[in-house]
Amino acid sequence: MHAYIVRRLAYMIVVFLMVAMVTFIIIQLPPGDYVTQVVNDMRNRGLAVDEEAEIALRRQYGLDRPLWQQFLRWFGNLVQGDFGRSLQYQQPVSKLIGERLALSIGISILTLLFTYLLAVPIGIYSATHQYSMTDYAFTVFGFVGLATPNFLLALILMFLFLKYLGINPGGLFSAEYVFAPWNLAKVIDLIKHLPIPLIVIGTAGTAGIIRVMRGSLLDELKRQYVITARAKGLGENRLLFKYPLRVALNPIVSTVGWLLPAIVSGETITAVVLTLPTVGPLLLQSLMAQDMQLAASMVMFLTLLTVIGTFVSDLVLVLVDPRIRYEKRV
Amino acid sequence: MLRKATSVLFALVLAAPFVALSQTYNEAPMLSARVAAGELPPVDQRLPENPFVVEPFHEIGEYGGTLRMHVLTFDWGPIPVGTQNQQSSLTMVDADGKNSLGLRLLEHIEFAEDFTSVTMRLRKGLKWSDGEPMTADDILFMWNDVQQNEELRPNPWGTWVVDGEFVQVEQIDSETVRFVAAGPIPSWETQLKTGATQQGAFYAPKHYLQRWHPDHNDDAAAVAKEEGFDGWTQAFEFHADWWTARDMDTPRMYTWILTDSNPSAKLFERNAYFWQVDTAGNQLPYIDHVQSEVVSLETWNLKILSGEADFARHFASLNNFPLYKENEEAGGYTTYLQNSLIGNDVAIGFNFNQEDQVLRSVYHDIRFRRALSVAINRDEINEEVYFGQAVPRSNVPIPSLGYFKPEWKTAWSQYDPDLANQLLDEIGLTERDRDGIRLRSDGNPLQVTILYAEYKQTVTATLELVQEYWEEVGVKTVLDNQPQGAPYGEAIGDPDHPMNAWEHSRSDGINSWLHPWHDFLNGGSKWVPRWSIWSRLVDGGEEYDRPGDTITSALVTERFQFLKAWQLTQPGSDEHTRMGQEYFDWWTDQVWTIGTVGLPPAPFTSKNGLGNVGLPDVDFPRTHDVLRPTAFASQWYWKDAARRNE
Repeated sequence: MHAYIVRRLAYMIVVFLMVAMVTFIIIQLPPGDYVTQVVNDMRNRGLAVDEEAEIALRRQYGLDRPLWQQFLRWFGNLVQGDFGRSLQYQQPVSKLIGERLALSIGISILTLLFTYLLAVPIGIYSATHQYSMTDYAFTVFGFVGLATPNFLLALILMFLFLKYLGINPGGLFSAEYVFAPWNLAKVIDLIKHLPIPLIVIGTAGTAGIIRVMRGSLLDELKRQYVITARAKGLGENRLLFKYPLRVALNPIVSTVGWLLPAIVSGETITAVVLTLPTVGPLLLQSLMAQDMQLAASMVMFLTLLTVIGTFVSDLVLVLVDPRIRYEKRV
Repeated sequence: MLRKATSVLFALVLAAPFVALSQTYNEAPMLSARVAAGELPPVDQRLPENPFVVEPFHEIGEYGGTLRMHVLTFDWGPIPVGTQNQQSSLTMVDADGKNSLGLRLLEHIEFAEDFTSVTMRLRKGLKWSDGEPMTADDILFMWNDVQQNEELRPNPWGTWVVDGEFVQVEQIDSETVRFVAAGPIPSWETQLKTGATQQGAFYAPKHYLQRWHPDHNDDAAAVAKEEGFDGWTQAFEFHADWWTARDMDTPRMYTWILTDSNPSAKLFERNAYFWQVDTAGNQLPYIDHVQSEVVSLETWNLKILSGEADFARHFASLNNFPLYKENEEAGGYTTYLQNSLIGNDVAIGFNFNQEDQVLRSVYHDIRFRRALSVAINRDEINEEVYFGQAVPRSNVPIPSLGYFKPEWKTAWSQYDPDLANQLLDEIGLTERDRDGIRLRSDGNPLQVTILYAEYKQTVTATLELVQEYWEEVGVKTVLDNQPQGAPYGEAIGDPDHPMNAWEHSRSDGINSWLHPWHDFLNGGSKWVPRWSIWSRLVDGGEEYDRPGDTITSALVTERFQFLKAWQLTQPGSDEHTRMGQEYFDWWTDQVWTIGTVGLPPAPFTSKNGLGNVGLPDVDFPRTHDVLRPTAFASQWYWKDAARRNE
């Protein structure tokens, strides 16, 4: 068991190192670099920038060095816990990510809750009232929801909320709280801004879960044990919640784990449209601007989370499934 | 109305030195509190002896409040702040309807009769935002230790090189300097109106920045290293950066100073040492804070509709004008249109030295360029994309320039697809494939690609129509829309990039922004990369010529010299007009670039209750590109006490 953990840890480090290299190279792959963008911006503002100025800028940002030097410097700092400095914002990457990480995780968890609280009851209802009008209505709603791109839904909802409910769209805070320290008023303001992101991001996941829930529950409802229980005179509700529903929830529960990476940086495009101050848009922006330090460090951070998550699930598997424990002894 | 505004402004300029002298000044309550607490010297000691006096457009304002604005990327400051670096120049164009040279940080300016030198005197007692005096030293520092430092500026600022020598500066006294050129610079005055004399170009805070400069600090390299930079130039540029203001401690002369920032927002606070007062002796600005949030374009528009944006201009699109107008009442704002000085909203250019020889030879054929130009139905573009508000025109200078000829506007800009077909047939492009697309001499379909970035919301709609018109005359057209920033920058930098589209001939009177020539004057063209490479070399341009080229390196050099000579004539003089007309007669006839529509009015919205927002051509004549409503933001104020006390 100890050997297994040590081996897994060693794999983890190797994977982390390889991902670091691949990440750094892939981010460098698109033509141009951060300075290309700066120069282009300046030219669009009508400023004269010649090649020498461009070279000077490149030197200023340390982009004139060979790739391996840039990598070693970045990775060296990374393993010491220094995520580097964003070129675009000229602030420590850790500070930039830190500010947004809590909000990202908070929104994602709330969204997940919203999705399940909405989808699971609807799925149950559809299954128990199969081929009823309401089942058809939910089915249509589900498929339309599945087929509508989220960002489009976001746009439409933003406009409708503004037009008919007078709710200010975009962002998570009203202007007066953007720079305010955390206090009760700011939390209340945040809560007021949550409905749109929750509805937009949440409903997207709903459709799929409704279908899965409906399908798996329908399977269970036809089983012998359900008929037996019913024959023995068990009340419909008690029967439903005590036996088939618990089994039918299995596929839903087992996919919860898949959603973990999405919790940190999911729904980027929707978040961009909604101007949510979460990790996704920051990562997208840093990739567009070729802000190397920020982009690479964020990808590494996500990698770290994934690797650790896999490690934990490996350990859990070992506890659950004895066969894995002895894989190398055969 | 125009005359009234003009005379008021004129009085403002004349009265400036006299009104202020006998005043005792008032200051914002937030600053009085700091003075009372001993954190700030009294207002009289913070203002120069002779502050710049602003006559408010409508009334004297009241202090307080926050201005909320929105931008699309972090690198933008909110627009009044983005404009303020220009407004905090030594000199600036005046809104007097005559584009006169106005003084800002300067108290006096004098040109030598032969235009070989100019003497400038700063207002006495100007202070940086950290309270340190701003003097002639700061100009000398910028000009001698930055502009002429080979490590910081390997290539000197071309405008100020005369006969191969950079303009020199000499100190006369603690407020006065004289710039001396090796030969005459007749366009000197015109250059000084554009806001070019701003921080980071003509002056910089020596007392702060010298710490990172090896001429002033032997340990500059060590300081840079300690801060995590690779070398002193990197550290210096970071601290001196005038555009993004990332070092929040760098002293500035601006109206509002950055005090807080994160990737989603920036917060600016009034500069306690700002050097402007109104006619009642109130130190400006009236508004305490400016806050800008970074939002998506969709949110940006919704922020206007919901009334959260106090002032919005830069990303407002004409095709959203009805939407803005419809929601005025609900959002509590008003929508205006500002006249435009952009000659062409979408102009299409050719990469004359790309390596595809077949395509290159068609580009070089004047009949091809004329055919593509007359194939475009500009009236329809104007109606469909611009609500008929723009002007169909060739890519030529704007009418307000003295040398403009009305016939340029219509030259090769009529809609005549028959003529286009006839011209294309004459070139020999008579064979067509099944889809009606003409075949090139090598038998492939004739396809042109237009590379562009969506710099405005009207671009794609316009180009899609162009695509339709061109395919009607048998030229297959592909639109290549690249994201702004690095992807577009890289694509346009490729020497073999195809055709391109951008707005053109935004004219400040000197540089008619007509590519590819415009950037030549500044030494760097993104439009025709290979010419750009050799334009900085003494010779060697011939290697980019190919047999059959109609525009060769020799011709470009000759035209370039002509433009340089033209720049040396005084704007408004007969010689200037004659040379300008000669140049643009040739330009128009050759159709080097293809214009669509120009002079599109730009919408902007202003929150009701925001006072003293000057309206172009109502409160001030908009005769120059830098004269925007935001240029007068220091006099904006909140009429509503609730907004002031926020």
